[in-house]
Amino acid sequence: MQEWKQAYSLAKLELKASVFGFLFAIIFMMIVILSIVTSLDSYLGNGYAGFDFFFILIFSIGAIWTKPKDFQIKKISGNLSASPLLVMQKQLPIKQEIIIKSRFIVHFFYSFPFQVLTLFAFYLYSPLQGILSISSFIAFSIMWLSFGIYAGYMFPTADAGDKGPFTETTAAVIFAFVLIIGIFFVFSFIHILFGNGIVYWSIILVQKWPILSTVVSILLAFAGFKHWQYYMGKRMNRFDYL
Amino acid sequence: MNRIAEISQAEKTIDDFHLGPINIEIKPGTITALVGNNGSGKSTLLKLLMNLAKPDKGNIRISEKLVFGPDESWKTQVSYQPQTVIGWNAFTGNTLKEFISPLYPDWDDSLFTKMAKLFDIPLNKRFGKLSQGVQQKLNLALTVPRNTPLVLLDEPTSFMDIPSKKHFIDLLADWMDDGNRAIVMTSHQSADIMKLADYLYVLQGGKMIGTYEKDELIGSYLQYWMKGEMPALPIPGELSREHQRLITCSPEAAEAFFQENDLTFTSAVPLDLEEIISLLLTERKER
Repeated sequence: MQEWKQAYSLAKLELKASVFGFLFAIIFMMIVILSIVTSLDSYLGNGYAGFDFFFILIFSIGAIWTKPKDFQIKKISGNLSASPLLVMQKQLPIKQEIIIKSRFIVHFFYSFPFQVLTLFAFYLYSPLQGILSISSFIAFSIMWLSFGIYAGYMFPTADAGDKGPFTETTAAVIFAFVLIIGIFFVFSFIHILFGNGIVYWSIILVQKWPILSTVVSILLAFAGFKHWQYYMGKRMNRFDYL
Repeated sequence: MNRIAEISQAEKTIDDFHLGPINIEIKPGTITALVGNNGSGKSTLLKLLMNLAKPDKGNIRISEKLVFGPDESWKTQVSYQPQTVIGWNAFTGNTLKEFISPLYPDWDDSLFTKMAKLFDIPLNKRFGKLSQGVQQKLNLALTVPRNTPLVLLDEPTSFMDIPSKKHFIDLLADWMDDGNRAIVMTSHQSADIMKLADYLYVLQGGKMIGTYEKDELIGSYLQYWMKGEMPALPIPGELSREHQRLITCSPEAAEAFFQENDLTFTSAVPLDLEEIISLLLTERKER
């Protein structure tokens, strides 16, 4: 617990300096949330991959990409890109464990509030209330919040650094573009193959097996949370911050 | 005398550049200047000491602890001023001080205030908005007051104006009076090295040329203005001869040779440190 407290005070340095970034994140995320909440009805009726894409976007990266420029991953040296703040903290007497935890806390602030807001908005302003009982909705919420942990916490691990051909801005944009097309393709394929999208099937899952899906989600979240911290430590030990 | 830091048989390959094997011991009360051409591996060596990069071979210890080991307590024993500061742009000097100072148990707040005043650093302005020179001054004002036994400075005065450079050198010399501290610095400014350094650690193309005690090194290079014609024979320690000017790195042997061969000189003058370093580096290159 002491380590998390220290990590929080470390994360505060970035969070305090990101107030305007948060305001931008709130405005933008409200628009995204509003648009997917109002389109749930048509998604359940007709189904389209865009809905799954934005829903998963909220429950994975959240608003992390709205971070102020000074805190975004940038080229450090050669072909290594990393979080400038992580490099700064690595030069100070701060335990690696605490640096890692602080990066996770920053991710939490950029993702969790928007994920909770999305779930509330869904229950209050979409047809979901009529489809899911309170207990099934809780299971649905746990399932997606857990996804936000075991899939979402992969993203702060990139702060430790990334080496490869995508460190140049142009190459990174091309890569992101190809990735988005690829994801759309996968989501569309799922729609064609199973008749409906991922979010639809998650609703079905919590309706049919609420306890099982909750337990599995919590276990995955726990394992994912541990794994990503370990993985980030391994990356930090591997890279040279020259 | 206990050593503060030790690098033994360290080697590191980065793309087509190979650093090492490096052996160096840092003792309290000493200032070691890492000297070499651009790209000779000086900054990389400091980064290896800070565990920002891992050596492929060899060991690096600070306060007897391996820097790449699980025990990270050595980090409170060392302060590092990088040549290029990363991650500070969004913060003001005051915020950075509030963040950095609690991490070091011996932080000297009065020294920080003194340096901020001396260098006229605007502490309420964001680091990214400061000029390169002021950024460097703030960086130093946030490094020296950490009062750690070992301080690593990477080109500390490269962007500084002349008066500030002088203030800084004086301040650093005072700071060393404690006797238990050591500095390892890289610098291309021969005046910094001349005034501060006790030892010179010379690197070329990643290879260690040697460690030299500064005063000894200066004493061992002498230039003579010879009278009359110089003999065709090589003179002991001869490094260069140009018209009547002869440079040798073995003055005693050279003077004995002059006596034996009835050669006379009008004057003998020690070489500038800058010239000695250039000779050391070119001499090695030619070999």
